[in-house]
Amino acid sequence: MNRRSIILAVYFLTLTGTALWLGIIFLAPFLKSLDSGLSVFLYAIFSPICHQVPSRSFYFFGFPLAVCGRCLGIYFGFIVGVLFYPFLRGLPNTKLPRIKTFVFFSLPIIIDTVGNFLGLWATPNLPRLIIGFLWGLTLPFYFLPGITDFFLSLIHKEEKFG
Amino acid sequence: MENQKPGMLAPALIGGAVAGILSGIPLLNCLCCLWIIGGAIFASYLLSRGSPVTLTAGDGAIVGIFTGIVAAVVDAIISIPLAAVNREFILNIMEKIKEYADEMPAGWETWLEGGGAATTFTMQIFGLLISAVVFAALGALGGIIGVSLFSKKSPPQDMGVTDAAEDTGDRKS
Repeated sequence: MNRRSIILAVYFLTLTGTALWLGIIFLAPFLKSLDSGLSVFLYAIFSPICHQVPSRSFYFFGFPLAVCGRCLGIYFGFIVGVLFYPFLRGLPNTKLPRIKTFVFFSLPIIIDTVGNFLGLWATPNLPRLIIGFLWGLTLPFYFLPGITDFFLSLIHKEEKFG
Repeated sequence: MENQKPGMLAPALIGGAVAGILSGIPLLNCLCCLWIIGGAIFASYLLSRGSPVTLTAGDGAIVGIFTGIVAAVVDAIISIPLAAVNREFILNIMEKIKEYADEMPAGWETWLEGGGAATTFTMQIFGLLISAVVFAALGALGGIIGVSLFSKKSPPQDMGVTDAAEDTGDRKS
């Protein structure tokens, strides 16, 4: 594969994978509402990466989504970031953004998480979603160039060593 | 030889163990995937500390992927004895939240009793495979962020592979 194909493959696989991931989050409660056994399986997929506390989740078809509000925000933010990435950075650009940007967008989620954890306040679900969204927006700007760089380095080694 | 990159196994094992334990402990696991990303950032820090050369974003991705896989295994192991405690913890939260829950859909409090998060042994094995894949992706993300945070800066090299230096803002399209 040439450089251009790798860059495009990484981008579209990330976009497709994230869309699929979001789809499963909504599919789980929908199947639960139909009493399908598959819903248990779909909820189980997300259980290692989310506490799935129902009171901290949004509801769909009368049942909680497969992840909490904050995680949902992160994934929504991620896919929006992926969609905007080619326009804001350009696909071939594998430079990482300034770290100040990451720190700036991470501050709300850090402050909110620490505050909730220490019991200083309890953030409702909508602000949790928004805070997660803001953080998720920045992540593709690290993920995409990093993964692209990883695969480009593989073909670079292949070319170098035959 | 002194310009060789250090081994990734030790940072990945340490970062993965930390992330796996923290993400499996009740109460602490309310941070969800953030522990995995944090563990991979930590692994990147360990890697960059022992590296005499500039690490690339790809290096961060690799160490992050390994960290995520280790974290998935550790998390699965420690979640077995802690499953009952975890369930109790969630039920306690739901009890406390009931008084504020006027606008929640009917029947939400019986969610756990209905087997919302119940898993069988087969499910746990499958869950381990799934979580290894997901943790690896999250770990890659954390590893890349970690490299951008901690990697030593060096002059750009024209090798067809970009380094992990920060973007200075002068975008070339």
